[in-house]
Amino acid sequence: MHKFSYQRPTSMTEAFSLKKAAPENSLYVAGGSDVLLLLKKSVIAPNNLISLRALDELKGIRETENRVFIGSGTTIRELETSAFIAEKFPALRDAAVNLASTQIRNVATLGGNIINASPGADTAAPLLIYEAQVIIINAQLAERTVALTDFFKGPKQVHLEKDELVKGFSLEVPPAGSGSAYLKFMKRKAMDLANVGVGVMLTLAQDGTCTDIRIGLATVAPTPIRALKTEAFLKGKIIDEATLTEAGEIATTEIAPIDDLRGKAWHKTEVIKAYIKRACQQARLRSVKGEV
Amino acid sequence: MIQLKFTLNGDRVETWVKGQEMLLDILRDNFNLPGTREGCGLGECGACTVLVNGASVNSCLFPALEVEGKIVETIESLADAGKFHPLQQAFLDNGASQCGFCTPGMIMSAKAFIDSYPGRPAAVSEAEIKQALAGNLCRCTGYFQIIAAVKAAMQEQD
Repeated sequence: MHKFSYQRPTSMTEAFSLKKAAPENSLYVAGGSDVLLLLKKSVIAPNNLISLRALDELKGIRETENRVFIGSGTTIRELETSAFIAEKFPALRDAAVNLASTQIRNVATLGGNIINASPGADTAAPLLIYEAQVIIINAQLAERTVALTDFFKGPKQVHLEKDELVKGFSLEVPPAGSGSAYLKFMKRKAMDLANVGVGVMLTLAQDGTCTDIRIGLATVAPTPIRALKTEAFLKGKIIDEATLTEAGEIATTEIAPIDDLRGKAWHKTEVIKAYIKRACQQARLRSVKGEV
Repeated sequence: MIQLKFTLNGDRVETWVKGQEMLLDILRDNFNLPGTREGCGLGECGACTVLVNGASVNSCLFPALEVEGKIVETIESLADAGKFHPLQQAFLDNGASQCGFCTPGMIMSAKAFIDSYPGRPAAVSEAEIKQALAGNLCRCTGYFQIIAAVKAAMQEQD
């Protein structure tokens, strides 16, 4: 394998100073399930890796007034097994459960999945529907916050400066009475990337009128996106079969899927129609059951 | 080269490793533990599965330097004084191993699953076992015998 040095800072300050002193071709790495893979496939060839695994500042799930902080170093396995996440952010749990294998989930992090910025990143649609803010910290330890929608730049690209790290994500706690879900369409039953991913969070009034809805889509645009037109259409309506069928049609006007390894654009478009419907139904079921 | 200290199959060990060496490399080359296999080398097949602090990981994608101070368990830690671990015995009894290449990884994944199983082991469902072993490929058995073996081991444990 390509040779590189491997550094393990134990504080944020140390991580930044190692990066500053490091050779040009130096990369941060968290769980490594993307970075080491690219390295082994000779797609990238860094001379030095700076591990973020020992940084406590990047860990933990904490409640702050009406929002929840999830450290970027939180593993997908932690999201999968957290009772708190299952209760408050079930769509994020849905995504975690079906992301690769247990072995990968034990190392892969939420921050890594987002920064890798795959258009089909499993955790992206759930974070989008929970109105995630990205908390970014720089070498001076100053923090800035940017909405996740504005953080993605393009396929595999995010708006992050060289002297910055993603500290974590701040999620809005779904209102009482809402329900949410993430559905992933895969060709195989497990260990597969999303062919299409749909996340939905909705709130229904007593009479069944949709008072609030957010839809996040993966793999059907250069970045994960919110389906704002579809959301606007569904807001204020009774969520029934006919409405959802129409919503699926509207969604096809705000996506730009491409033909790739995992599927043809026309097929992804068809799946989006079906999955918007199913994800809304699943979210509605959960809202009725009282699970948020 | 950087000095590395960790606990390997119950023993405190030390070795010298390079930045680019993965846990798999040092287990096989530095410690002569060839039970951990390299299949794809890309985190897809699970043949290299070992436990780090009780959690299953693909050792082919786990930088060796990350096990500093940690507890690593490989397939070689399971048999006790020539007596098979219940999981190994269940694999044998159920014909869950054919060519054997995937078996150590399969058993280590199953061990991690069983050790952290929250419910009554005997009540485990097939779906749960399949989900737990999704990261381990077997090209011989067709999986039925493996699932049966894990189930048998869990029923015996209960």
